[in-house]
Amino acid sequence: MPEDKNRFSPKIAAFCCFHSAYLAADSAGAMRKSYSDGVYIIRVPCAGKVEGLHILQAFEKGADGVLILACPQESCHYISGNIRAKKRVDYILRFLEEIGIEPERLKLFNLASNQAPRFVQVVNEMAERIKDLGPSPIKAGVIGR
Amino acid sequence: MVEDTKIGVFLCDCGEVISRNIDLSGIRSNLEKISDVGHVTLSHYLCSQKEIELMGSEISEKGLNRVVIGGCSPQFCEVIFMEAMEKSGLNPYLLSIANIRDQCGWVHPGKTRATSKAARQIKMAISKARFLEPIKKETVSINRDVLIIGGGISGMEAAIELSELDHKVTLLEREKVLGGRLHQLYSLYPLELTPGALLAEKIEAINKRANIEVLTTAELLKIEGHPGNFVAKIQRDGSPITRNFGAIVVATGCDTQFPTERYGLELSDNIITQLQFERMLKSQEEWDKIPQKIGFMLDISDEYSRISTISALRNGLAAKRRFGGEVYIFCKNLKLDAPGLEGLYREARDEGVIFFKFGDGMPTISPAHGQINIQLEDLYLARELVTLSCDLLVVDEKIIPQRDFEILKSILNIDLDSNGFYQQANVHLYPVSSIRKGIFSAGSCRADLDFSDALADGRAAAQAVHQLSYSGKAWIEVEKLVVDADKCALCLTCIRSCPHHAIEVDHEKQAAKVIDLACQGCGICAAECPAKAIQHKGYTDNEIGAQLEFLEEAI
Repeated sequence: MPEDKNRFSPKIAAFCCFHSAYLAADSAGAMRKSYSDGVYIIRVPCAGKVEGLHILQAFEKGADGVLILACPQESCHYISGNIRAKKRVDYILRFLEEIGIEPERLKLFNLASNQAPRFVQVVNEMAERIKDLGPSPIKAGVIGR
Repeated sequence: MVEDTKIGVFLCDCGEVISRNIDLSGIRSNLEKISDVGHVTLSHYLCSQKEIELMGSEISEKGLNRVVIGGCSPQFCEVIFMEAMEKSGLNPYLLSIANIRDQCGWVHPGKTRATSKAARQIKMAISKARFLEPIKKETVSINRDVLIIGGGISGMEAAIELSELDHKVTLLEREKVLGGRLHQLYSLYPLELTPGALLAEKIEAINKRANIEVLTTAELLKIEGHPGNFVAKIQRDGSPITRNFGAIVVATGCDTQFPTERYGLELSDNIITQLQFERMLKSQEEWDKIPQKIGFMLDISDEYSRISTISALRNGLAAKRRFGGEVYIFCKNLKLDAPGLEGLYREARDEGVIFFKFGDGMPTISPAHGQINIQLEDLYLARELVTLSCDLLVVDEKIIPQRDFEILKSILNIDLDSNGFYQQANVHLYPVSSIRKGIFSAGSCRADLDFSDALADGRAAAQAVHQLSYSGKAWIEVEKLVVDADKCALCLTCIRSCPHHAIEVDHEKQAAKVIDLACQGCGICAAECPAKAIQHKGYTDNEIGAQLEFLEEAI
């Protein structure tokens, strides 16, 4: 399904830790910094709460990319939540390619609640990356069926 | 999903801030078409007193059983609306917020795109709301008595502070007397008080207060129970004592160690540690043993240690003042990161203490004929090779955890950090809290703190305890994380992964059980559980799934 790169606006599910990334997103808003409107922010209490199931479900429902945004390393609000999240993302990455999804579509970043510019940068870079990759193969599969 | 949900959607334009690029009235008329939406309003300032009261009456009049807010971020408004819902008799956890101001209106320029995103966000919140389940709030009683382990400066300070806040305190000390490191120090300069006088002052304050019980030569053997209601088994002079406490403060201090391998030297008569030098200064009989040329070596045992730097400055200055002679301080690069340290450094320099900075190079230390020759490349003398000889070299030591931290760690069921000190819940936000609720750590058992920081830390820990248990009661959210006993296979994954050690085995039900008071609601157990036996209310699979459904829609 060829689509004009500029017209394709990727849908990204961003699981945001309520103690860091969610607040960073809020302050990005307060700073009137703009980012892709295909970003769906889903509030979670901790990145460690995001299950593999949720990540895969997001892809299944048609996300072109999934972001897990956790607290900075060594400074997780819940001590080890960001480490758990990292492990889980690594686990999913191991078979993502096998099921036909490019591993670049799933990324984990660590950022603090005062890092609004970094939030915007991370989200925009992700959107750019996904634009290069094109729409999710899962979506193409559904349409081509 | 419960049957017949009746959702009330409350949109707020935040004083026309949101409606500037989001067409809220258009969204409103679309929302009214959704069958289970029983009520939609659009208001100017939803968080104002008047609007909140109105919201409360709408909830009770129209029998709404879910509330969806479209407005600012939950970090600002969540608590206000939860209170309003509680007042009108609705469970406050049946609330779902679409953050259309901070994460939409302010972010996306262009009315059409912003409006369609806001509409989606609100619909996502509505779908989540359909799955929300109420959470019961309950008060539980908390024991106000506090156990403090360690009668050093932090422990004594915490005890005094807590007793003034009207808590009954038990102060546990392993040695025969209180005081810890204060017994070994010579001066607390720039404080005028001597360690002995300070110790006497604190002990007098402790003795005066009837609600402090001091148990010397006593050790903690075992802790049972939960935060708020710990049962401690203590051994004193061989006889057991049992007491109940609501909170525990660990203030056991640190240890020091001379790293022979870093220096390539052994300690000897003229190579001594800072504590040994401190002892020489303290007892007047040893004053004639203090020679004319003294060197202090820093930053070799550790990259940087605040305690070593402060005591080198303090004791170097004291030796210079009292005995004259030459005092050298050798350091990698002096770091003055505590209040008053810059002043102390200037004072030492003004008094004639000479500083040498050797940067990344390592000085050569060679003892010969009762003297110690030190050779180093000085950073500030254009890397010139400097050779000096001292009669006495005072070396810095590594600050290390005490040997019994491991034992106390397993008794208290808390963690140690990568350096072996007590793990802080968060270095910046909760420095004195441990990973377990109700257990705190203060002083140099948790970090490299000098004397004045240790004092402040004792008070900080006391305040943290007071915050937890001042009223003798605490709110808990009953079964926010609920375990399905039929699905639980007791694999212990949740118990191992809980960062706050808030899960235990319920032997009656043969299932895991979350201790509501200790749980801090991260949901890691729910995510880790291989049997999906744990659900985190507010973030259940259904609730997250309902939001993900909207990824199917085209933007």
